[in-house]
Amino acid sequence: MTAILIRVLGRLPVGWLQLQHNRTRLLAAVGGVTFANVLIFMQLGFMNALFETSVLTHRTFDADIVLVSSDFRSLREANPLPRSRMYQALAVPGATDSLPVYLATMTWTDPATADTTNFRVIGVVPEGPVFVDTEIQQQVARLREPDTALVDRRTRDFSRAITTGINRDGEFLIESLGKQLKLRGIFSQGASFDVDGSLVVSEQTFLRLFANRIPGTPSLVLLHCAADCDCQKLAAAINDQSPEHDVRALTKQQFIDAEQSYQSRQTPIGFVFGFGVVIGLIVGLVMVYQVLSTDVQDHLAEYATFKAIGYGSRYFLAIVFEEAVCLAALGFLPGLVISLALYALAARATALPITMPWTRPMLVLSLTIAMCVISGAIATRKLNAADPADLF
Amino acid sequence: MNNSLSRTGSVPAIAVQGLCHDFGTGEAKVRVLHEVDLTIQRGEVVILVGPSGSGKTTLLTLIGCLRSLQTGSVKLLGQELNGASPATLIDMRRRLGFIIQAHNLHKSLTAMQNVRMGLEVHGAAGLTNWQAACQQALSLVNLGERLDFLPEKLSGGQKQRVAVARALVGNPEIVFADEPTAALDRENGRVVVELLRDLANQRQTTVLMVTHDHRILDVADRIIKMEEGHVVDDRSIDESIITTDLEEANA
Repeated sequence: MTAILIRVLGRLPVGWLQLQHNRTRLLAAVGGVTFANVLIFMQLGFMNALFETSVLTHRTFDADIVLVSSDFRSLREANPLPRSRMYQALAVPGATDSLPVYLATMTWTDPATADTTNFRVIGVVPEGPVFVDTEIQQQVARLREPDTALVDRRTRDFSRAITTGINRDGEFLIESLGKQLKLRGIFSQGASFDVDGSLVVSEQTFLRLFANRIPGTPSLVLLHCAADCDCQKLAAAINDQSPEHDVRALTKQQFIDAEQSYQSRQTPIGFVFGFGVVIGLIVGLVMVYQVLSTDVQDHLAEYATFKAIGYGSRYFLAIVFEEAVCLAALGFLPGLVISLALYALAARATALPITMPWTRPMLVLSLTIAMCVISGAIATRKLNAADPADLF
Repeated sequence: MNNSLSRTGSVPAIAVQGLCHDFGTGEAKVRVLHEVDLTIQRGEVVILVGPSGSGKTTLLTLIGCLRSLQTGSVKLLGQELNGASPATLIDMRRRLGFIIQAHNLHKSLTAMQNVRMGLEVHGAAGLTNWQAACQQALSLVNLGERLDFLPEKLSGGQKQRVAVARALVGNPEIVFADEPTAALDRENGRVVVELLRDLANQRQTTVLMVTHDHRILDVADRIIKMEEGHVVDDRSIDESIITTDLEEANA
């Protein structure tokens, strides 16, 4: 390691040699950086899972443009909109077809285990192209039969009895909201922070389940554009022609962005995870600062001697930054390994897609280096105390 | 020793004129140097003596570019230090060697690495044949067998000799030494001062040394005596005055 650093730096790696000399202190510092890394990785993992799972349903809709109520912030709180707006939108040149979608949540308690599952219920027109996911779309026709549903196999704590029942008998009966529902098909979507999984039902079944919902007031309307049509311009045109301004037309990407923006900026959970990242950085910063400032303090006499023989301030800054980067690198690797293990554990426990994209280690390494370098920069203030005149 | 650093001209190594220095401010201000004049030629070995508080350490730090000048002039190797920029002072320090009582070897570096620090200060040029230069410097102070030892594995005297090697490995033009033999036994003390004498003879290195060790006075060309911030005596070495001077100084 020392030989490599000599090659890279073109000088003795005094910072690294200093760190290496006091193994206990090095271990404590690396532990601190590792801890900060794990904290940051976990917060980013959860935050990403929040953002990704919050738009799982959005992504699966087959639409170019989505009509939502004008106060739309999140799918969870999507207010109904008049169905007449769907027909008005269809009248705008470029819009080819449209489908209403109804949304609500429903809890089901498994009588065998007494576990309660919170489902997002998606009411769709069985004849239409509703989903881009072919696994769901191919099964939508089964929903023509009243009181049937498709269930998400990646529902949190999904009961194996459901899969067994559907595979063996073709259906699995559940009871909720005082009604029986036949689960006739399975698809794969995933849990999110606010629901455990999804059920897809027909429009009619939806309205039977949720008797308080007024027919003709869908939660969303999915629109398709003509092949040669600019979706953004079409959405703008629909918005311009909306007589009451009680609905908004969003492109599919705007629809996804709106949800993620809401989750990150307007929900406490988005703030909590963002704050967690900052706390991780501060914890790491304080720990690295403690180690580096103690190290500078311990070597003031040696630094004063080096100053006397002609080393300038930049040399000492380089030593401290060299230590900072060494600590960042040494703390990062175990932090990454521990985080990967914790991701697997957390994903299994929560059914959330907590994964490690390749860009995240790069981001965390950059943050760690920045954190260590800032700590080092603060610690270098003590270097001024190394006065070579005091040597005599 | 590294021969890459060139000598310049024939101006005096050290020329001090009207040098005054104060510590403190306002009513607490104390003058520690009074109108000091001093010239030391290249290749001279000069010993500075005087009682504690006489100003010799302050003089050494001012001439050694370790403290800013207030009044007067110090020309080091022809370069005026009064008003010189910090960068100039740092450049100048690279041409000097310091041997100090508190050797301050870097405790994480081996003897070789500590000595290498005396070369690295000169950049890439200083590192040509660094291994041979460092080994030679350590061998000259009888530490050829301790190259890879950390300071914690060396005795006080051995550490002091590593510091001497570090000061001399860059082939300095002036060596400032503060009690260079204080931590050394007679034999190794002799090795160090004879090394300094040889440098003066062979390379015209100037040596300015503060010492109370009368065993090493014979290597000096001159003895300068200071009292209360004044140079009170400055004469060429004479066996007859050595004992008297030192006895007075130590008293």
